[in-house]
Amino acid sequence: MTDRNDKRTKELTDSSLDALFAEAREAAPQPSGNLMARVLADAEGMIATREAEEAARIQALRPKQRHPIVAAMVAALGGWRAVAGLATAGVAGLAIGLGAPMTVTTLATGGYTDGYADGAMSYETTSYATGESGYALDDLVPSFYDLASEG
Amino acid sequence: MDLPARLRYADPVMTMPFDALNDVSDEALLISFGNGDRAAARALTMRLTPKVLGYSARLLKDRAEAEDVAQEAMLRLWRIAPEWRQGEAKVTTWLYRVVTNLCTDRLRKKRGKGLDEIAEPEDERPSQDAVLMQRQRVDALQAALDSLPDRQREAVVLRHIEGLGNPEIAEVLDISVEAVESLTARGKRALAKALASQREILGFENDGS
Repeated sequence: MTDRNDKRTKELTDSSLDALFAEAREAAPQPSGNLMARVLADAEGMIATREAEEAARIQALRPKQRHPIVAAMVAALGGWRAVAGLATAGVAGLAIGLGAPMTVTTLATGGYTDGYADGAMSYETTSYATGESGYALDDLVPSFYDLASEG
Repeated sequence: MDLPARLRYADPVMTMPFDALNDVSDEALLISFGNGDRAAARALTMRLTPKVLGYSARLLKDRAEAEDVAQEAMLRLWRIAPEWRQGEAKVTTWLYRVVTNLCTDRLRKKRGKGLDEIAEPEDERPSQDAVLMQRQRVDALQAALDSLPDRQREAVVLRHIEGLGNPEIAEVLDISVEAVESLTARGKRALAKALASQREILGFENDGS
């Protein structure tokens, strides 16, 4: 069809085309409030989903609930602090028993019963100084003689 | 339908001096959105949805479909936000690219159904009203754009209506800058030809000089 037209009317000039583009730019289609609401709802839904996932992840990282029997035992002993104290005392006892049997044996055997009869509460402060008690000061101090003789 | 309160003041989208985040770059907003910032989500919605819809509406004839594409493109933006790598691409370039691909898919599907089913834009009633005249001109341009091959239409819209530079268009369409130049040149020529028969409607009949 263009062949029949002369050159002048065949095409729009560049300037009129540019003017048309400018008009189109001004008359750009505007998003409806509905579309804006949908887009924003998507965005906020995404944030909410991500927050929920994060919360679930943190929840999963938490230690699992104890067995009810174990929980009851811990509670009966006075909570985890008391259990920790007990465990420490137990380990300390084991260490003392393994590490210093001579001292423990000296204290535990009945060789000092006369001093004990005098007054069990007072031997630490007075008896060893006066020599009345069966305990000498070095009986109460761990002895390193064993170590020295062995090494 | 009652709009949420947070949207009510945002209706005149193009005149939006309301937002304290106006100076913040798209990318910075996107990253803070990725960190769960709702204010950033709102600012991005206000800023980018009009652009996305403007572009998709030029590529697709159907307004409802253009809105669906705009929503889908924005949804993809929300999804990618936490993994957005800074400085790699402009947010708008990325969006134009997504919209281009979504529209191409839809047009291809439609073409499978047959060209005849695509509704022609309705003729506007002739009127002396200047606003309507402008509307007619814009519609005529849109009809001419619709007659272009997809690639040419995308390139012409991006270059002359969205105002992108050739290198950015090349990135959006995933082609070379030379190919963009050739596409826009050919597209523009085809447009001029398509519009030549409508000079009277366009009001350019005295425009020979």
